[in-house]
Amino acid sequence: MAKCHSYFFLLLTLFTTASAARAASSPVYAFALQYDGQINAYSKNDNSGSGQINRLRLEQSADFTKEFSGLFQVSTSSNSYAFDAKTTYDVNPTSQNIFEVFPSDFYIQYKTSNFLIRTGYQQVVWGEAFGLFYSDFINPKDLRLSPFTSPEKQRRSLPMLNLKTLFGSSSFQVIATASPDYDILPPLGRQLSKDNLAALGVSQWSITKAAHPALFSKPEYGAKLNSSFWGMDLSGYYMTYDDRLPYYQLTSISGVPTTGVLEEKHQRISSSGVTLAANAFDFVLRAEALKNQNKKFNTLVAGLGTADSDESVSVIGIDTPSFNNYIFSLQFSDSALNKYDTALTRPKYQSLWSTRLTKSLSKQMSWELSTIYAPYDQGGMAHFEFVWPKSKIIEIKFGYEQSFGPRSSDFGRNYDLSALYVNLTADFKD
Amino acid sequence: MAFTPSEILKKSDEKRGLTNSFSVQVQVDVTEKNKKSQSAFKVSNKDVNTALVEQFEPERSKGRKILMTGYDMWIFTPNIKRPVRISLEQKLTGEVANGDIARTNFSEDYTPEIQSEETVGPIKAWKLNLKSKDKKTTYSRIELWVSQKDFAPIKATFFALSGKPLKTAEFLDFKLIEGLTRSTKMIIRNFLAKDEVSVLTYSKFKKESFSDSLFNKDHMDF
Repeated sequence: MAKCHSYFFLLLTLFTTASAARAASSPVYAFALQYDGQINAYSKNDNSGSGQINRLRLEQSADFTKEFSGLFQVSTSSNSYAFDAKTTYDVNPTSQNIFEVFPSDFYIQYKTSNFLIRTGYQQVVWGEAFGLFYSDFINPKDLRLSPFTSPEKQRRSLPMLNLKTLFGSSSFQVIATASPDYDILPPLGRQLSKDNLAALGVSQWSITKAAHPALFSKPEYGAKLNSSFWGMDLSGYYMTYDDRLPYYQLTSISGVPTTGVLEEKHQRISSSGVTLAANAFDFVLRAEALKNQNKKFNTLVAGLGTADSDESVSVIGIDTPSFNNYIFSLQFSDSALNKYDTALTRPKYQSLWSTRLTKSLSKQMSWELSTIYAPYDQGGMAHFEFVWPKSKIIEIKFGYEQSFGPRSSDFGRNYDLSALYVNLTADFKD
Repeated sequence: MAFTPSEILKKSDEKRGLTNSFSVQVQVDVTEKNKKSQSAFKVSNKDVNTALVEQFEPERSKGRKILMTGYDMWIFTPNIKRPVRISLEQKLTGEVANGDIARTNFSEDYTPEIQSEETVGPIKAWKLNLKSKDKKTTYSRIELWVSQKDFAPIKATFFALSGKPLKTAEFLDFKLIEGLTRSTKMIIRNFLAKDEVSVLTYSKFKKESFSDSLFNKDHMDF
């Protein structure tokens, strides 16, 4: 069904584009190709994974008239993560975990000086926090990738209608998706790990992905109002949509060794929130507060169950001014459940501390040291990356990523995937 | 005829850019430790407080935009896909701060006083001391040498809040543009590392009127 959606929207976009091209007197086309490759050398000796992520993106942009244009990107991606993480998760990977073809930004748009209507696959980003996706919930994410991966690589485009109007220093945006899509998760997701499922006496797990709802059967709607005044940006939003993260239902346990089948389910939820970014002296403050209503979480005692609760999230962060080419950012976030069941697979409060120190060097080089720490389970990650723009089209990154904390923790369970890496991005544009 | 420091500064500003709504292309050639790199930008200035900078070189940075309205500044990149609020003094490239390109009108941001009269090469000049009117400006103080003959800016030294000199600039290649001779080249040098040099070359000055919406931060992803 997911493929049907993709084909429908791609064909619709292409058909509209072809009509527009015929109508336009002299359309202007541009082509681009981006290759992004990464090789990981896992620091844990017994992880013999190949550690490769390759991505190729083809792009055509077309300006039919001053107002009417299109952007058509198709990406292919291969990621050895599923095989590399096999020992961590005890889930047999399939070819779908390895190689994918998917639309990135693939849309047509009509714009005037203060109005935009855009339809097709696209990414809509709300929120002010760096590296966290609390308000950036619209597009599904590839959560197999490290949390320090650039958000654009993690985000997956979603077919939607996007209307935006500008007035003064404010804007109002309405979006409607044709059908929901969901986060791509490591084999056992965020809240359920091999360790906390061991209580069920199952040695191997199989995950059934959630079926995609029929086109237009479960549309999602959202709106955002944004205004800039007195040196700050203030926005408020509301959206009703399918939770991008799943809860799980145990559908069967059978065989020797015992295999448990878990089915991913997605609850219809609504999110409302406010975001703020403001200059304070030479500092930049960033804050988010949101409420996710009607979320469903897993419980685990003798069996696997569920419990409902609203979730309140607050994020506050600060960027320092540049000092000797250093910029430091500090961010704190907290997620709290309004109703708490002691059998839940997550604690009532989940707070995260994250820091980022960047240093600009000569020749447009830079390095960045980032950390994230979860006090609720003492897990975390540290990441160092050196960025070296090699030429007008090539950028090379060298980095190291280390997970730490108990193996049962959200970050610590990725300990075996700590790695040195080299990443190369090449942009070719006509 | 005696000129007040403010009049001198205003006339000098006119020699560095058009005063009303205009666009200009800026090429920035950076030399750092004998390694060269190049960037290019289109700058759309609505007025002295409002500018949009769009980068079109190098390829890997194409589509990056910086918007300035008053002392507010945002950056947009095709990767991040949303405008992110930043500060004026963050570096754009090489020795060039965002404010160096997007906010070039000294008389709006600084209070001038004549510090002395000096000779720079063969040119008699006023040495102006410009004190920041607001802590949000790119620099806390600037020393600017202005020709007494035609108000052309000659050179400048930029200072941090600590009083430490950060960089120097030279204004060169004056050409007749829209009825007035204006500088089309600025050379910025790191004060401590003199071999770190950024050359800004201005071309395609064009009087242009822009819609107010172009300078709304949410227009950056249109």
